[in-house]
Amino acid sequence: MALVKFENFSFASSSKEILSNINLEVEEGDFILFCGPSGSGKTTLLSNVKKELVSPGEFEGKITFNSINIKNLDDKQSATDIGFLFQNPDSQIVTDTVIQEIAFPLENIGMPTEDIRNRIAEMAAFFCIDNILYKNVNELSGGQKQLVNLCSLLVLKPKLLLLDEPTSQLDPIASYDFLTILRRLNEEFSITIMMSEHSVDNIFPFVNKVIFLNKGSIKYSNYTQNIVQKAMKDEIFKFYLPDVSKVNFLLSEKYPKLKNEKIAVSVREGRKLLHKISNDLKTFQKKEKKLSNGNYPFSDNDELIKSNGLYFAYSKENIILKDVEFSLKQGEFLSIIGGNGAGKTTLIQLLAGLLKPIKGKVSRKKGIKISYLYQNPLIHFSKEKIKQELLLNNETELNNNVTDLLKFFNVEHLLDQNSYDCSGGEQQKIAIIKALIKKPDVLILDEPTKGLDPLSKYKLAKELQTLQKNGLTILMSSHDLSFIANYCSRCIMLFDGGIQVDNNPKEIFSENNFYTTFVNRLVKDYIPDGIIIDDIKEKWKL
Amino acid sequence: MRMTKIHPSTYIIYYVILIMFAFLFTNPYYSLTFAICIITLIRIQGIQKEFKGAIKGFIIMGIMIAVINPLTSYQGATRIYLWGNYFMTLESMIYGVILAFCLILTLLAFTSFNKAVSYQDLLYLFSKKFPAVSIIIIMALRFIPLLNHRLGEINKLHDFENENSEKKGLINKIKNLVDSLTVMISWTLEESMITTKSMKARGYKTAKRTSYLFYKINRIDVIFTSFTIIAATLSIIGLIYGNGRINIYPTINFSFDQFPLNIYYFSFLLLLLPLIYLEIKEEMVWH
Repeated sequence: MALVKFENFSFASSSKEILSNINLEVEEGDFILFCGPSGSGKTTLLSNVKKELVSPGEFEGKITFNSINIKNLDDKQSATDIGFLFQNPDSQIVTDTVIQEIAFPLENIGMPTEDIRNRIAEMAAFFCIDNILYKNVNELSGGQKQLVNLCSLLVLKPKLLLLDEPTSQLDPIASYDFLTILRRLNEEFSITIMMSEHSVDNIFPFVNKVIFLNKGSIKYSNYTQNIVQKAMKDEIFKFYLPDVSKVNFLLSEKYPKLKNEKIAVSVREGRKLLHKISNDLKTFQKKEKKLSNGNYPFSDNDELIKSNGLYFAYSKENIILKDVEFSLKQGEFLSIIGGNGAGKTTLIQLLAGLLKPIKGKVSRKKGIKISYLYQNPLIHFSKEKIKQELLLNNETELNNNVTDLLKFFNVEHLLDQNSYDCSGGEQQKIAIIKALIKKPDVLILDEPTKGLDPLSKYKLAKELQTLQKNGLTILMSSHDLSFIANYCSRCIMLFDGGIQVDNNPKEIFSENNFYTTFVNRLVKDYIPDGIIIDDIKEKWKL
Repeated sequence: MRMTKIHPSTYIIYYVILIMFAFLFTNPYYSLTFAICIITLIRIQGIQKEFKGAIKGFIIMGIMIAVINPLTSYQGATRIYLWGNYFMTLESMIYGVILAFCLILTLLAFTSFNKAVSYQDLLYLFSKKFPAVSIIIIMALRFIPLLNHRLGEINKLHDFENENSEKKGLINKIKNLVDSLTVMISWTLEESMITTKSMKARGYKTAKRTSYLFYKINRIDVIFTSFTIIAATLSIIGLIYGNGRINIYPTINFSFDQFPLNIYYFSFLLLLLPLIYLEIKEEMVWH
């Protein structure tokens, strides 16, 4: 018997149809992934299973949980049996300390003190969070916050977890840790999980069913292995497949031997397939390691931003940046990577001039203009309509420059909307346009790809590349290795307060074993410096 | 981590008595005893740093009270003529000084109270009677630092963007401030919708709230409280018989050679000591 069942379910809000005719059965113990572009109805679908979160609107059909209509579930049962985790780790935390946050739902349902403490003890032991139990939530990293949020659902002993892009705000390592926990919950406790997510490389091996949503209806719904075949031919959903499967698919086009094999979704399966055809595959040797600095055809005149012996810290005990030597040259597309708290944001803010170094100097070429884009684009908007945001001083109409940019980014239709009504990708683009109005020489972006769906990410990358070709210098911090490998011209890795590696992405990722793209993990033995799909296509002539 | 667990209500009874006594006992010997003991306690509790910040403001306020009182009050018998017909009374000057001293003692007692009783202890006491109030306090503790942080980020960005613009001056500054606040409010409202949803999703308001906090009344609480009450009662009896308080108006009835060596003074002294004793005992474990 299905745990959750959608029967001809449709949902409309202010006469705009968001979900149409959804039929779906979720068995106990399923781990289901929902994919689809922004605005395809993933969040609406998930929140309709949780009766507290249903937004006002008309609906048809019904959703049942354990054969009871969701609408008729008892308040307490809905609270305890169904857990909902939101995207942003910060905004769903209600209280100030970790222990209080985990206790919060138990206090709400009126559980006696003794029982609350028993359950917290159990959680703390299972998730190893006893050392942060009394910490203030503001001191935690994003991954820890999301883990606390998950714990505060699990203390209720839920049967079903609904997760709305839970790892989109986390860095890759933290999101992998988080997914591992989800996998344990699913495998060891048979907790049913329904999750939506954009970056699928990590997740595909864990889930047993994938559902592709578009424009409010289910496009494809099948077991993980079977869905790849169909989705690969779809214009939109080919972006939602793991890189490993894409490589596998390309290979099986050329080598019919692989046609009958199961399509790989994890690196392990992918490498097994490569071994099967290893005799046919051409193996390349790794080129001599190039010297990292000095191989750029730039003279000193091209240096736009330069720093010497840069130090930064908020307190004496914790120095974030030590003795950083850095230079940014005309026309580069440079990205800064590094673990959580390595000082990426601090460095780009120092270079932009938002922060002042405590020691050392940042020199910027005379007369250059710098635009800085904050992680959360909303911070850039204060006007009622987007059109007003884009007007320069005293202008009443948009000038040609702006209209060209609007056309270029394909967001002309949004002018009369409020920025808060746009999707994350649209907000990001408008913030970029706003930054470009001032005709900057350098555009500095703080994690511009965070939370974007793959299609928007791809479009953004293409647009940034065009801007770069037209002479804009771009500096960004990022966690997104595959994005960097595909589009950046230079990459810097921060470690221990300084610049550890400074080279082009290809050199860096082919050297790395763990901190590298999925494609490189797959083909390392054959093409050591193959880090993106295009490299493989070129080398193996696929 | 402390090894002596004292129930928050025991602390509250004790500190309420202390703060009351800071005002009731105006005899300089009593006040000085109080000051010495409470400063020792604060030193042992290890909170001089926070204390130094707070006391600066209070010393200025104390001096102002000591100056303003004789300027506005002309009670008292001993007139001191300053110029012409203008006079101040010695009594109101002394009253001002004593009042200022009392205020500083109260502040000291509060500082020590803050260290001894965390806000969670207070919440525990509140949450039983006023669950709604306690959840508001917890949320405020979460969101005030968060909003502060956000405003800091917004200001940083606005400062950067306005650095090169030629417009300066007060009106523009105000305009920028309004801009920053607009951004913060819309950002916060947007996020708070999710906070509300997250509370609803986790069963807020489905039943009467309980609390995870848990305290037992131990033997030490009984001993501590009875000790406090006995010492305080004795001191009060002393006060009724005129020990520990001085009359200022119309004339001062105090001279420094009357050292109050009696049982009432000792019970006052004893009342100040138990926490110092407990703190020292705790320290001894580590040395």
